[in-house]
Amino acid sequence: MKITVKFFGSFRQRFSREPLDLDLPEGSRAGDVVPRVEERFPEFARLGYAPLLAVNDAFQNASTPLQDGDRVNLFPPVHGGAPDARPGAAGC
Amino acid sequence: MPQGYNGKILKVNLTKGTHEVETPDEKFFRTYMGGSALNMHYALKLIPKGADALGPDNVLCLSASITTGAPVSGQSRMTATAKSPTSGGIGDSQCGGFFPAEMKGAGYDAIILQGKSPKPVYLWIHDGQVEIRDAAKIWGKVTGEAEAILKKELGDEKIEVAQIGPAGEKLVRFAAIMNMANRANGRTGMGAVMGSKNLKAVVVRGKAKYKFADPRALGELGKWGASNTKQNPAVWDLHLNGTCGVLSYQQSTGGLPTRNYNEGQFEGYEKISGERMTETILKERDTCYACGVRCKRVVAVDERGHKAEPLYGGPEYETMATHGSYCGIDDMAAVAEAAQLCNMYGLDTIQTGTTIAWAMECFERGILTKEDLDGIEARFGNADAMLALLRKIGKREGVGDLLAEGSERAARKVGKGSEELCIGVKGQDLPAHMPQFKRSLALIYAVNPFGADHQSSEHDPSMTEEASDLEKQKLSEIGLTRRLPIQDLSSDKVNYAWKTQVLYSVMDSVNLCQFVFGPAWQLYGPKQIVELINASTGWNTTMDEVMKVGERRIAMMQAFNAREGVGHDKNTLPKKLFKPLTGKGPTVGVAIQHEELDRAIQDYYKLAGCDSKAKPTRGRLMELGLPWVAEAIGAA
Repeated sequence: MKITVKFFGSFRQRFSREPLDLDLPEGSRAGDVVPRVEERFPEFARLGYAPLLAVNDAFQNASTPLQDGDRVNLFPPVHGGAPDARPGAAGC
Repeated sequence: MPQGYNGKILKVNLTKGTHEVETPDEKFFRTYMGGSALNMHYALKLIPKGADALGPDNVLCLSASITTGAPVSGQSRMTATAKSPTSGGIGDSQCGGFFPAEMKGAGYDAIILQGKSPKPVYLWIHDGQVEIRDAAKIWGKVTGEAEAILKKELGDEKIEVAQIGPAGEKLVRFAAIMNMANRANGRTGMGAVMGSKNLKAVVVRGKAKYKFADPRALGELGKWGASNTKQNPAVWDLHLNGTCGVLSYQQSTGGLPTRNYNEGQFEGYEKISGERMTETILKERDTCYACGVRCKRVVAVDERGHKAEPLYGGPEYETMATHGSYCGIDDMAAVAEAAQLCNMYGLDTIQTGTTIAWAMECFERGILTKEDLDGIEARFGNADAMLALLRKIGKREGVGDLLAEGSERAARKVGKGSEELCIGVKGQDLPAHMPQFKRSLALIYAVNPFGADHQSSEHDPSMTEEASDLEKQKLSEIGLTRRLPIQDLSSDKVNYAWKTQVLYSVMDSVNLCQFVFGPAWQLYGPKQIVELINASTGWNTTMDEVMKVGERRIAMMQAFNAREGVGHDKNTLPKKLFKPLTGKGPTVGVAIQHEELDRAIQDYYKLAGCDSKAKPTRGRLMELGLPWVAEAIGAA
């Protein structure tokens, strides 16, 4: 399935202003984009912290299933702290 | 010989055209330290009960602190405090830049402004000398022009200026005090108070010989900060993308206020994001005195009729959101122009944007018509309408005269259900951090003595299990180790809100930037605040003693409000926040619950030492060394 990855915050300057198009196998989860990004940008593996993952403009944890056409936004920790990434937490 | 401060408070009587200098002892400075707590001492002593906020009895206090001017990032802040023309309770606002360090260099730790000048004047304070000068040449001028005239008149390009623009002169209730032309003591209407005194500007210059106790220790602290700035991802993002860097993040939480706080996501967010600003209109990263973070933006715009000059800086996140997503506008050039207009007129960008967003929702619902709005079709998304209304507010022209009162007062005049569309607490509209998402802000927005404020406590994400090790370590320095979900508002979360509010209160008294110092993701942590104070003053203060300063400030503000009749009934949230959010994203359907807020408020009063009506108890005030405050308000 086709997934678009976009970089935000300092990732935009460090890695890419342009979106990254990935072809992932069916059943992939949000966290599966990270090793693929690391393949393209080896420095991504040496961040020293976990990136935040947003699927279609909603923060999610790494185990969130992806669907064809989804957009995954990658963020560094942002001032104001990390979001609560547990499933359902943001909308409870 | 004092260390870390001048030991001099300048008191100016604008009615009489006289001034005097107070020289409080070391105990005074150790009790209040500066900034907001020091200002509260004078506000409570000098502002009579029931004073008109825009009358000569109000007193405007401007303070630096014991650490201002140290060679460490994040220390050059000035606090303005007075009775607020928006709430009738206490008003308080901070500003960075070079003015605070220069003010201290001019010889004074604080400037207390009393009375009202019979004609427009400005203050010229240089190397301890004080002159009250005629302001005829600059009255009516926008900030950039006034700054240029003052530099020419005084023959000094390096003066620092705290001034009002035309909005302050015309007593727009949410007028700001502008630091030069690009920074603001924005909130709570301090610029209107300055205007009511016929005081156009305070100009400072000097090289006072105040000295710090341990310059070597300060140098080490400064070096540590410089070498860790890039390693801190949140602080480095502030450097790269400014405060607007948080806008895209807010979108993915469902916490980006959209169309007058009815929704938590904005479809046009990428067009007004910090990343987009960096890639398009950013010209320079500006800074405050001795700060290595450089989070200030300088932009230039000249497209499609929209203009913004570098002289007026660039939009902060709050400006981008209130004039962007609040109004349904995804045009960065238009918002940059709005930011410039606010800085030219001297307006609080938050309250300006929220008031326009309120007018837009009134228009969409047919409560205000095109005729009511001087022919302006104020639909959400109409950037030209947003800019036209802004200009009218700045000049108090036409419908701008109504909007210059702020949405809450305007709604009282308009009626027809427009009151339900307001988003203010104590007359101060909600900033762009949504309490429906970050639940402790529901409590803090409600109980904060000067109205809804996003810089008065640490936000909820830092207390979650997913927070970084850095956040967890720093929070533990003030005894916070529990992990709670973002939307929890249990008694544990109330404790988090209270303790971090106290630390933020410390920072507003020591006048420290809350992007550089803080209890979570910031560059320096709580223990380093204590180190900074000790290295500046030679004291051997402790975290406990410093936290008491923060508690003292909050108690004095609560006492001021109790005296002025701004009590428990004002400690609430706008009705809109109790209705489910609409639109798209993870917060659709989320609303604040009355029961959870009511319980949290009563829990908070117990922690803060207030009775059930928000008044500090006698015991609490005695414990904080404030018997004179207990007497003044008749505390039980």
